[in-house]
Amino acid sequence: MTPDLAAIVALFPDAELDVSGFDLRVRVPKESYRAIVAACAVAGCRLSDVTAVDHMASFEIVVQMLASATHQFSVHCMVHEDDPRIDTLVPVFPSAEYAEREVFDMFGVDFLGHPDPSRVLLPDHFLGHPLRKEFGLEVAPW
Amino acid sequence: MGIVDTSETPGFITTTLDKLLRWGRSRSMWPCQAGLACCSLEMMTAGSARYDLDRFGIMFRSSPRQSDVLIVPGPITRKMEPVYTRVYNQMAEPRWVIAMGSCAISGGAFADSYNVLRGADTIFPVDVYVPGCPPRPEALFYACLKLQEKIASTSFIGSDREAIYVPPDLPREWPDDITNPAATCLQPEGEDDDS
Repeated sequence: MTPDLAAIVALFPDAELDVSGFDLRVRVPKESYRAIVAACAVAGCRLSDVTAVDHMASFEIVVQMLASATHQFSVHCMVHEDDPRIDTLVPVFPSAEYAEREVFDMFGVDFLGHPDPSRVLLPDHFLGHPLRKEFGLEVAPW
Repeated sequence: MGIVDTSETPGFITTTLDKLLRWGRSRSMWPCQAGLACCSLEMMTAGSARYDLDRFGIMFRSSPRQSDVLIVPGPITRKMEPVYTRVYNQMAEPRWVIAMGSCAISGGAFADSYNVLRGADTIFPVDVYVPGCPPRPEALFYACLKLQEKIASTSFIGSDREAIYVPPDLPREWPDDITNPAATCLQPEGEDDDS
């Protein structure tokens, strides 16, 4: 049975359900970000992917989740560029570890409480985060 | 032919031995079994029964200590760069490098990427370039035959050819202001152009 997403979102007054897009979107502030993902996990939802979007002034953390085999929705959380930190989802979904490491690798978003906050795809001596909009390829020294 | 009258014609033995060594080396090129990307599948196909690189005396070795040809079959990322540098340094001199495919020549489709080197010749000298994406096994054959010609025409006895050692260059210096698109510092100071 598909979990009732609207009932979960109604538990959090600062979260809103966006039904205007192609799929369901839950927009939350970073304070209740992990709590609502945990509530979805308790209701039976499963994690698909953690990724991010760079909006120049802020990063949008996108958590792709599956409510059932065919029902997909996403949890969106804005993180300001000056303070790119957000709670980790590893206590809720252990499979979020590598996805969050990749988001740190590419965007430089720190996940508080992550068990292994290191780079996963790029070499450890790589400086900068290449999927940020302001990352300039012309400064690469080769 | 043979060892005759060495007192009269000094150097005769050396020349003959050199010829013998060149013949032997060019007929027993042993590539290192190191794959990177999709070109390595063509490389494996070239070694398989249908194409059969063995008939040229080319047998893949699993250890760089036993091989003298390094085929670079794909893009070298910055994470793979110390690995390939180490493999190259572990191979015994004289050693040769074949850059197989567009990525190993210039970076290919990934030349504008943030993590791919602009070709294998940015870290070690390359003897033969094989264009293609990926090259067919026949193209790799042609490169091997060209390399045989090169080996057969290069003298190593008495030459002042020095061993090439690629120093592990890690970490590379980056400009401090990496996130500033207006940064004009393309090269760290004191480093030669390797772009």
